[in-house]
Amino acid sequence: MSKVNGVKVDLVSREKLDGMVTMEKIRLILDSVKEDKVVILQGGLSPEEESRLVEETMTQITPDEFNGVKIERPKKTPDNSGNSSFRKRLGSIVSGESEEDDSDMLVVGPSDKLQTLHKDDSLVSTFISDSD
Amino acid sequence: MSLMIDFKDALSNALSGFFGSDEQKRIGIYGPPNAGKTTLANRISKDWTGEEVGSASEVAHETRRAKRKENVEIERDGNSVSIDIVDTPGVTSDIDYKEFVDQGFSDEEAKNRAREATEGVAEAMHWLREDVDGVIYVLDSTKDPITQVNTMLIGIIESNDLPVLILANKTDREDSNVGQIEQSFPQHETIPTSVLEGDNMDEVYDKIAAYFGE
Repeated sequence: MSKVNGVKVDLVSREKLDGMVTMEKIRLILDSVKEDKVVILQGGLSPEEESRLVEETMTQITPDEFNGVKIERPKKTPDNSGNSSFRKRLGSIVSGESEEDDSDMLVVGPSDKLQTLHKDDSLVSTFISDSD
Repeated sequence: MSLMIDFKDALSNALSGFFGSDEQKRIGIYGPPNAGKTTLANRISKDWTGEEVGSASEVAHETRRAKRKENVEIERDGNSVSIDIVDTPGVTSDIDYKEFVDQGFSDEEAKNRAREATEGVAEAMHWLREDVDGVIYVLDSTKDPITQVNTMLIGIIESNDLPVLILANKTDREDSNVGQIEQSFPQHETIPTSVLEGDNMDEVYDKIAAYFGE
């Protein structure tokens, strides 16, 4: 059987992420990325969780082994009223309305393998190199 | 006599606990690497205290530790505002020591710089979540502002309800595009400036006084 070369991509559902605490999400992401996988998270992470991901990533960077992560998401711009998606979500929490933004997603991969080619409101186009 | 002083101190501490403390406000200068954060910190500090905070450089990650300049007193329209300025390392999600090698550092120096830079980024994130009362967010106006790092940091600033002033820096460059920053973050005020040239610093100081004065 011939060997298939390629990059493994993990799609993680919102349902799975909702059942995890911040450190479990970070561990899932970093363990996968260190195995050269690209992880796509449905629903993304909160800004607080992203900041902890960056902080934890920094502690694990090792010369010639792990240079960190590349994080991408569709290029969301605030609407005309100036409301960011975070504010809209905060507004929905305060008003008690359930408004899950299913368009949110986050792509995380090894920084030396994931290259963004294009992104707009609904699309992130990336090139993943398989240098090994 | 000393008992009386102790009693006064204790009373003062208790009252400040009830009515809010008069602690110095800490204003963090944040942004991606090489946006002009240290140049801004130095200019503010030099203009109002006569001393610089740290050394700025074209080399990315020159600032690898958060540096605080205390008691910077800015006077505007007869009023004065006293703040601490915290210059933070540029935030990024990846650091490759080979970038420092490309800039002429030896392997060992490059690895040391990379290690210090990783610690600095982690430190900057911690300061933002825990220890600053307001933010001056510095962006290079020649670059696309919609990056994951900027979106994330502005998100944290908003979720912590911190007052933020965005500076569209490097307006002296031909390819400066202040409009793209204004359109990207219309919920926040953007001030065009060239910190290096000292352009529009009066407006920067007016806004610092207005945003962080009380």
